[in-house]
Amino acid sequence: VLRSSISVMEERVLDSEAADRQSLKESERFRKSAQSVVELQRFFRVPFVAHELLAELAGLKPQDLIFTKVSFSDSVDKPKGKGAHMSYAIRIVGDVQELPVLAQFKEAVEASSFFNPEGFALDVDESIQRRDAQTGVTPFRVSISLSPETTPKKGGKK
Amino acid sequence: MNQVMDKLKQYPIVVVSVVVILVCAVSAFLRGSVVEELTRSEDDLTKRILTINTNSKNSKDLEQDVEAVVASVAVIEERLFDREERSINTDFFYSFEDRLDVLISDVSQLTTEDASLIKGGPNELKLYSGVSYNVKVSGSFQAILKFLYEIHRMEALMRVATFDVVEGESEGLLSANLRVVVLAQKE
Repeated sequence: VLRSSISVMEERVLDSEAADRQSLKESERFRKSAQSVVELQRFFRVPFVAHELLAELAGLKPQDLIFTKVSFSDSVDKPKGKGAHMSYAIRIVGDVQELPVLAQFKEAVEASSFFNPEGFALDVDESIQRRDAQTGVTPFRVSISLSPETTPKKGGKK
Repeated sequence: MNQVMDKLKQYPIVVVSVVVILVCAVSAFLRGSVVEELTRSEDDLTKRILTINTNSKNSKDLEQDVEAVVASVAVIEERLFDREERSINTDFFYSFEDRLDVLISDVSQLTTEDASLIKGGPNELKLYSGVSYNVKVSGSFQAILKFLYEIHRMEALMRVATFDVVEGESEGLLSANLRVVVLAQKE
């Protein structure tokens, strides 16, 4: 009984082996080609696209806030014992007449979903320089930092 | 000898039974290894058939998928920059002046690669590479925004990695310093 069962199975294997080899070959071809697509995704893996970032900042900026410089930079961090990861920084330099307007802008950035992309922790910090006694204008700097989130955000879909 | 024959005559059933049991035991012992080997072969074949079935199930529509992904790769590869074609690549950026209301004052190809894309970087590329360009551009806010957008939607695969936008010398004009990374052929 065992011998006849084995012989039937051997025949089945023999019949399907050519098709199986072809499937494996195709599968390998798919894996190699898909790697290119994976690399393309990796190349574009950033939380912000430049024009959207500028447009978002322009949209959040209160009318009485003046930006004189906006910069966006990235950096590679390699913490000990962990894989390398990207951090991003946005620096805004400008002038403001009424300081509450700056606080309002900071709050708007913190609340914006654009500046809270998945997988990143947002930190917004402002610094204020001495007010010009004649014009009443206060120069300011706002730093928006995004670093990889160590623990996943709570909440999400309800 | 006579004693053995006497016992055989005295207890024929017992003696025959003992002989039969002995023959069966020897036969089972001898066939044991054969059965074991056949069972092992059967197990191996069952596993092989299962693998073939799984492969067959997984490869459903694989041929079409392979064709689709190969076509995508061909599209990617024809859009890659060749880092040695410096004048063509540089002219590519200057050509934006013809379509947009911007002034491009400098385009330079950097020798250092984007740190995120090199070996050990978080977005390490193995099949391709990234060439970085410094591009200095000036124009109105809308024109610069449009320039950034055009870079994003270009057929060539590129993105603005970093930028500095500052007030320009004339009123209403901005000056931007960009680092643009372009997907290129592997060196």
